[in-house]
Amino acid sequence: MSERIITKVLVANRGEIAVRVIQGLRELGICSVAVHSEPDRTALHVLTADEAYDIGPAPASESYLVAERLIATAKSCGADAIHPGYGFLSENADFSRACDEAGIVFIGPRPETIDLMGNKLSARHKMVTSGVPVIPGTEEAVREADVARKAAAKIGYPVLLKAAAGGGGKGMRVVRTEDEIDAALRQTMGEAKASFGDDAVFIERYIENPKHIEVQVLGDGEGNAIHLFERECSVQRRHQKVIEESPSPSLTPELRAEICAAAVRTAESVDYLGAGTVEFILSDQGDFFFLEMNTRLQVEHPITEMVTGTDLVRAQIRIARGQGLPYTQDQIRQHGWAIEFRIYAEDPAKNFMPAVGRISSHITPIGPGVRVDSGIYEGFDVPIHYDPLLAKLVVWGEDRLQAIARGRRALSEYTLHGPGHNIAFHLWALDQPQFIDGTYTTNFIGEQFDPADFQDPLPDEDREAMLTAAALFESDRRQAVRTDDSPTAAPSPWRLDALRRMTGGR
Amino acid sequence: MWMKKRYILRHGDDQYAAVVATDDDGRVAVQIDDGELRSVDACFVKNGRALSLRIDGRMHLIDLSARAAKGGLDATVHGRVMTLTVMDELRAMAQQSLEAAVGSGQVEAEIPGIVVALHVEVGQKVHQGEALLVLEAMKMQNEIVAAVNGTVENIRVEVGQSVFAGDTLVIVTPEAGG
Repeated sequence: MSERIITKVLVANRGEIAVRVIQGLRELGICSVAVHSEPDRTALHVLTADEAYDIGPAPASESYLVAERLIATAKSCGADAIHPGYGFLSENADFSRACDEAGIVFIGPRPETIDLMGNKLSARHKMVTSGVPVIPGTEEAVREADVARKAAAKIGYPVLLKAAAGGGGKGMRVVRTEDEIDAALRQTMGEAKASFGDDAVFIERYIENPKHIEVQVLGDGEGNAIHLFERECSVQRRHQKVIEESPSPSLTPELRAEICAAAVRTAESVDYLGAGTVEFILSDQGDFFFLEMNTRLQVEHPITEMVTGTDLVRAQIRIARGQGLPYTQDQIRQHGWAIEFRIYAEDPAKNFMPAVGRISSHITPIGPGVRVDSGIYEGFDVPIHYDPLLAKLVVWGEDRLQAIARGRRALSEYTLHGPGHNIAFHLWALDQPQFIDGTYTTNFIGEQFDPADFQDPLPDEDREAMLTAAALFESDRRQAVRTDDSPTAAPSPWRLDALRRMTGGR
Repeated sequence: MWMKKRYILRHGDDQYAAVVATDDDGRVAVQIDDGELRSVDACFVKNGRALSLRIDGRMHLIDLSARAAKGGLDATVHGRVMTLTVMDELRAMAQQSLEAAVGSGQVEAEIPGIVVALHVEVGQKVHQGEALLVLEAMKMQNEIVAAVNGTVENIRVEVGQSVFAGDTLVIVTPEAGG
């Protein structure tokens, strides 16, 4: 591949990932360009970047998703490349193609690869011919009830009906017996049509108690690829990942070697260019099957960076420059254990209802083995228009138990005030036997977590300390008001000065 | 001589009574509900946004942020947040009589969002837990339900309307005796 010059990169994203990419660019001496919607003028990624441009109103469909405006902005400011982050246009083949046509490097795979892997049916066909195991199921889209019945009988119940163009858990339905399949097919097709504009559905074996294992890969675009080992992402809620760890506690060395080899085979079969992730589902029998390939940087990439000692954004830039893979397979080792906790603006006690509002306090943990990738700061107003991911806490330990203990320590040092969030959920998860022994599956939250039982997880001693502090805070605040109103009032033990003296001043 | 001041702290449906006692020498003691009056060594730290408490030698660090609402306070200890309302006794009594008068049929938006569906009409009888409307925020749809049995008296919003946190959405007249 010929070398491409990259000296200025437009980051077509927002939030923590835009900040992380900008930080990586700065370390490489590359000029960073942020783009933002109107309400995001004061978002952290905009404050962090070297240059920033307004690309439209709040709704993503009128700003972060408008490909022409992003490309026009890149051209007018002289950016030679675009980093798409994750979400938004990161897996949009037309956007990647438009970048190519405009002479701008798209930091990601080729448009043909995005197209191929973006469609579940075509990705599945490709995997079958490349010798990567896939879940037994239909090779063609199904739309008729009798075809569905025959296919399901051949595959064996329970089966999963899945929108061919789906993602993120939408348009999926488990069918356990033959009498349910007619209605389920109609409903799934309806949802697929409504959500994705395409009613194609396929049927596959439903894996009970599955684990979600994915493998990070890097490809040079010329048929060579390496893996950076696996991540386990089985702690999910409505198919949205919440906690991820690397390595996976569920793999034997032999199974790890097999699954990583399958991921490399996947990447090499499509001459993969850049960083990508091959997702697998692991059954309780130890069989693994290809799920899909994500043709972008993942939210959970930091845990791979921590256990392999790599920088995936730097690797992406190097590959995009046409300088090939930054590492050989032999150089990649798994060292220690990393866990990521996604800090979402979702309140577990209110059934994960999304929350917005001003961040009134954000004190992040520090110390050994702790990393926080954040998209927020104190005083920032979390807007309602975008993803509720505020930050990611990542911890590293020499082994899994230390990583868990460190996670508990770091979470207990984390203060986030303003919108409701899920830090207390993470503390709860770390105390569950299924998490501690690593046997948790993708059903973990659904089976173990009850929002009704989650109103007040505080130990008595902590609750009492908090109530004491609140009463003292209020008595001090009140006294401050009174002092301002009546400066000549007679001295009383309630004067602010007195309280400050007794509290050692502030 | 000890001076005592009483506060009422509310956390969700839970209510606690706190007594803060101080003396002329600057000593502080606090009592929560029926617990003992315990001496506390308290220091404001972090520019007054946190309190370091020492109670019988045990250390506690509590981060505090006042909320926009009067008396509202976010407190964090060991990563866990409690949102409290702190009132002195007088205000707590006033609040209680106000709540008794209004009833709890007023349904407010807890988060800003867009009304995407209305499930009820004025005059309709509803049961506690019944869906009144759907509010979309951050790409998530949230069902807003009736807190009491009663009759829908007023609907203040329409489908497609944006609302702010605290906006009244629907007013339900609680059933007599319910």
